[in-house]
Formats: sequence, structure tokens, C-alpha cells
Amino acid sequence: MKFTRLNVVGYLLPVLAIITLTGLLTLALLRLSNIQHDMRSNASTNMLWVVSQAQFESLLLGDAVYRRFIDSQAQADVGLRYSLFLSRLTLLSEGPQERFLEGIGASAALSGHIEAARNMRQWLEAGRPGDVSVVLRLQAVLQPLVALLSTVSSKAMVTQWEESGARLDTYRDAVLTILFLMIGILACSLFISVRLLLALKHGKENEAAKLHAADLEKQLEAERKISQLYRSFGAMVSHQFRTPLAIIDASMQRLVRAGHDMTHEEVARRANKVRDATKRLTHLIESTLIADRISQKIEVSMQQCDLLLVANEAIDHQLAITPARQITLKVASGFVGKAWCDPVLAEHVLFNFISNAVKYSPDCTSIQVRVFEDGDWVGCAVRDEGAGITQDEVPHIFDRYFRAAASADIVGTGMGLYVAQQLAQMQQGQVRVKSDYGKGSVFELRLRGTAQKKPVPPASECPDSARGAASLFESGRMI
Amino acid sequence: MCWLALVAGVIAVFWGLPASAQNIDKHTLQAPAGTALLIVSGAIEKFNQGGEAHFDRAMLEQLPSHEISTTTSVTDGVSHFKGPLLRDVLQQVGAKGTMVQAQGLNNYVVDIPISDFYDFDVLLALYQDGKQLEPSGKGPLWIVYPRDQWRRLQDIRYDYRWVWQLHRLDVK
Repeated sequence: MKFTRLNVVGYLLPVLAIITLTGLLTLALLRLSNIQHDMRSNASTNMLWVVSQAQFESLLLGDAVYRRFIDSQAQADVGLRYSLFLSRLTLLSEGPQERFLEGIGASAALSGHIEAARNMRQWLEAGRPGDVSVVLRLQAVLQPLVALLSTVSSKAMVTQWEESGARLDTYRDAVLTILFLMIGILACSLFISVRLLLALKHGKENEAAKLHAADLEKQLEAERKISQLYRSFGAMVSHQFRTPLAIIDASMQRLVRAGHDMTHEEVARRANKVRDATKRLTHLIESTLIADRISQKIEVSMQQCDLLLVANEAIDHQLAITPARQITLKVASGFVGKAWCDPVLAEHVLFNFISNAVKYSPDCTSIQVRVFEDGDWVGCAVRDEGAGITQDEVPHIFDRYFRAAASADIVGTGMGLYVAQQLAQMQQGQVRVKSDYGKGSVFELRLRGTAQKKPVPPASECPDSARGAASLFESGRMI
Repeated sequence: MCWLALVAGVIAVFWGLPASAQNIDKHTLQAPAGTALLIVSGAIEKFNQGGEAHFDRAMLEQLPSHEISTTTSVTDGVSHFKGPLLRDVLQQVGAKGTMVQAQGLNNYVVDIPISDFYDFDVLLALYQDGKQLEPSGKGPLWIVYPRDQWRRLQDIRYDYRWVWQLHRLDVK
């Protein structure tokens, strides 16, 4: 990959921004998670309270002992006070409290006092009312302990304040860090958003450009088709017009060179030849113009009609022109043949197929016309045993002005099949061709069947194979 | 007057006597044999000393025993606690209230919502790590929450409800 400006701005920077954004977010989350954890773990025992409780219990114990041994009050519960006093000292020597005392360097001194306090039980229980020595002994143990606890409590207060201050500093730092991280996150997000918006805009522009290119391509295709049309038209005109023109030219040359030697009959014969050629030219021009107009100006009158009758009419039409040609009509079994179409236009299409068959096949061969039904379609196929069309030409056979190579010597405009196709489409129908080069062709007109069609008979009466055979095409080889 | 005595006798047999027996069942709690470790007072339906319910160690040991292994805020490591559930103790005295005021031997006082005892298996611990809790430590009774089982309980606002040297519960 080359580090071009486009690559750096288009890909590298956004990727870097995303990585930075992810990194910043992770850092911010870690920092927040640390604060959250710290907040939980800092909720430690209030040392001041624990120390003050120990002091308080030592004073209460001193008071109870004084009342018991000096004032001789039997109800003074020395046992309970001693237990509570011990429990406070035990608390100080446990877990977090002990660690705290160790932290401020008071642990060792306190453990000596705790040991001494634990040993008090024996002589406290052994003492008798009025025994002043017990009080003095207790004072000897408690006084230094109370003094130490006072020191510890002040140290505890200072330490905890220090800790609170330090914790607040940490939180403040953390919040500041998160603020900076957030600014970074904001900047990265903005950059990525801008890049995304730009990419979106660029994408839309690309799409517009693509649409434009597609339009251009369509226009080009249309131009190409027009150009092809002109070429086909040119080829047809040059070929079809050249022969009559050559005849006219040859006849005129002959008249110019040997006119004076010719008999009147000879001149008349030549002149008639020229007139025939001129007539052919006129016919060619007219049929080209008429055929071109026909597909644009025709009005379609759709109705339900019997395709068998239409086919018969087309055959009769052709037989009137070429009575010697053998044209057979076959009707598929069970055919009822009601189609939605314009009978005049349908007849025109079928007549075009039949006249083509007559035109492009030897006189000795027969022409088969077959009407059939195929699913929703009602169709008529015209088969000839002529030269056929090559596979290359089949896709173009319905193109305007297109003429097959095999038909080059036969007069034609290349408009007939084009018009047939247009007319079929106007009736929501279609035309198809299948040709075996050298053996003949089949042209088929397919029209929409009507709703009045008889219901599809059970398989035993009309097997699928028989229905399939109704079409002259094998379904697998169509289109 | 004879028939009156008869009617009174019938009433006494079929209504009076069972009623007084119900009275005993309904309001009387078994009397403690030893020293009371826990005194429950306030809005309770059963009592054995005036308007209070006194529990000695044997009475508390009679209740179904439960165990919790958890850390505490004042000791290191995991401790194993054993004792009855606080809700069982409160049910035993027919406590009718929403709060209890728990008081320690050193007059430490804290209010605890009774819902805590139903939301969590809160113990009235008699034993820690197999040893009986003593007043010279955190005994004889220590309110223990299943702190390690619920993240919600690892909070300073629950830590102060762990009353040790518990002596009295006043139901409000």
C-alpha cells in the first residue's frame, strides 16, 4: 500500500482515531472502575470510634472496680465491664485495626498493654471488697493505656485526615484525568463523525456518478442500436435496390447503344422491363414506409377469438396467392383455442409467417400450420422445410431491416418479422422461432388464453406429454 | 342455683378451659432457665417476662441452626458463623413491626429494617469458627449478614448493622 495523501487522510487517520478513541474510553473506564473500587474499600472501620470505645470502656472498668473495692457496692458488675473492656482491646488487635496501628507505629506498645490487661482477670477475681491494692494495681495498668490510647486517637485522627485528603486528591486527579480523556474522546468522536459524514457525501456523489454513467451507457446502447439499424437498413437498401437499378441501367444502356436498330416491340419490351424494375423499387419503398408506420399507428381491438379460424383465414389468404403450395393445418387434440387478441392483427402475423414459409422454402415442400394450447397460452406454429436460419442469426431475426444470409437473393425489406413481433406484443402475446439450419424453421405466435377455456382435463385424458407436444418447441430448449 | 352452676360448668369445660389454654399458647413464651442472652421487647405478641421475651442460650440453640461463611469489616479472612436466623427469632415472639432497634452490651444502638431479615439470611450468630462467642470478644450474640453472598451488603451502610455483643432487640 502506498502512503499517498488519500490513504493517510481516508483510512489511516480514521483508523488511528478509532484506536485512540477505544484506548481513551478504556482508560476512562479503568479509571472510573478504580475510583468505584477505591470508594468501596475505603469504607474502613472508624478508628477514632474504636479507640474512643476502648478508652471509654477502660474508664467504665476503673469506675466499676472503684465502686466494688472502695465503695463496696456489690452490684457493680466488674465482670461485664472487664469483658467489654477486653472486647475493645481485642478489636484493636484484629485485622484492619491492627494494620492501622502498625501503620502509625503504635502496634507494639499497645500489644504490651493488651497482654497486661488480659492478665488482670486473675487478681480482679481474687480481690476482696475494701482491697485498695486492686484499685492501685488497676490504675497502674489503665493509666499508661489511656495515655497511649489518647496518643493513638490523635494520631489516628491525623492519619485519617491525611488519608481523606490524599483520597480526595486522588479523586480530584482521577476526575481531572477523566475530564481530559473525555476531551480526547470528544475530539476523536468529532473527527470520526466528520469523516463519516464526508464518506456519506462522497458515497452519494459516487452513486450519482454511477447513475449518470448508467444513463450514458443506456444512451450509448441506444445510439449503437440506431447505428446498427442504419447499417441493416443500408445493407437492405443497397442489396434490394441494386438489382432493379442494375436492370434499369442495363436496359437503358442497351436502348442508348442499339435503340435505333430495335423494333418497336423490342423497345416496348425493354421499357416494360424498366417499368417492372421501377415498380419493384416503388413497392420496396412503400412497403418499408408502410411497415414502419404500421407498428406505430395501429389501434388494437382485443376480443375473444378462435385461433383456429384465424389460422384458416391466413392459410386461405396465402392459397389465393399461391394455390399450388401445399399447406396443411393440424389441430392438437382437445384444442378449443380461444385467445385474447385482435383477429385482424393475429391474422396478419400468421399470414406473415405463412408467406415467409412459402417464400423461403422450395415449392415442392409442404408447410405445416399447427394450433395448440400450452398452459395459459394459445398458439399457432408455422413450420417450413426451407434453408433455415443459422444460430448466429436467430437472436436478430425479429430485428428491423435484418435479413438472413440465406435469403439474400430473395426480395424483402427485413420489416415483416419485426412488424409481426410488434403486433404480437401489442396483443400481450409473443413470437418465437426455432430453426434447424438446412432443414427448416418453425415460427410461433403465442397469445393469452381466455378464462372460458375448458377446465384442464385429468391426466389420463390429456397426458402432460401430449400437452407438451402441442407446442412445436421443446420447453427445455426455448429462449 | 344448681342449674346455673351446671351451665357455668359446661361453659368452663367446653369454652373456658380451651380458651385459657389458647391464651397460654398465644401469648406465653417458654420461660428461660438460664441467664437471658437476648431480650426482645416492643411490638411482640409472645413474652415470658412482663412484656418482654427473654431468651437464654438453650432457647436460642433450640431454634433451627444456620451457617454462613463470610468476611467481616473488622476481621481478616473468611469466618464461619453459626446460629438461628433473626427472622426465626422474631417469628418466635410474633413481632409486629417494620424496624428493630438493636442494642449492644456497651449501649451501641442502631435501627435495622425488619425487611433485611427477610431479604437476606441474617444470622443471630452464637458461634464463630466453631467457638462460642464471648462478651470479651463480639459475643454472646453477633448479627451477621451474608456479606460475601450479596454485593449490596458490601457497603458501609450495612456494616454498621452488624451489632456485636447484642443484648436487646426493641421491635417498632
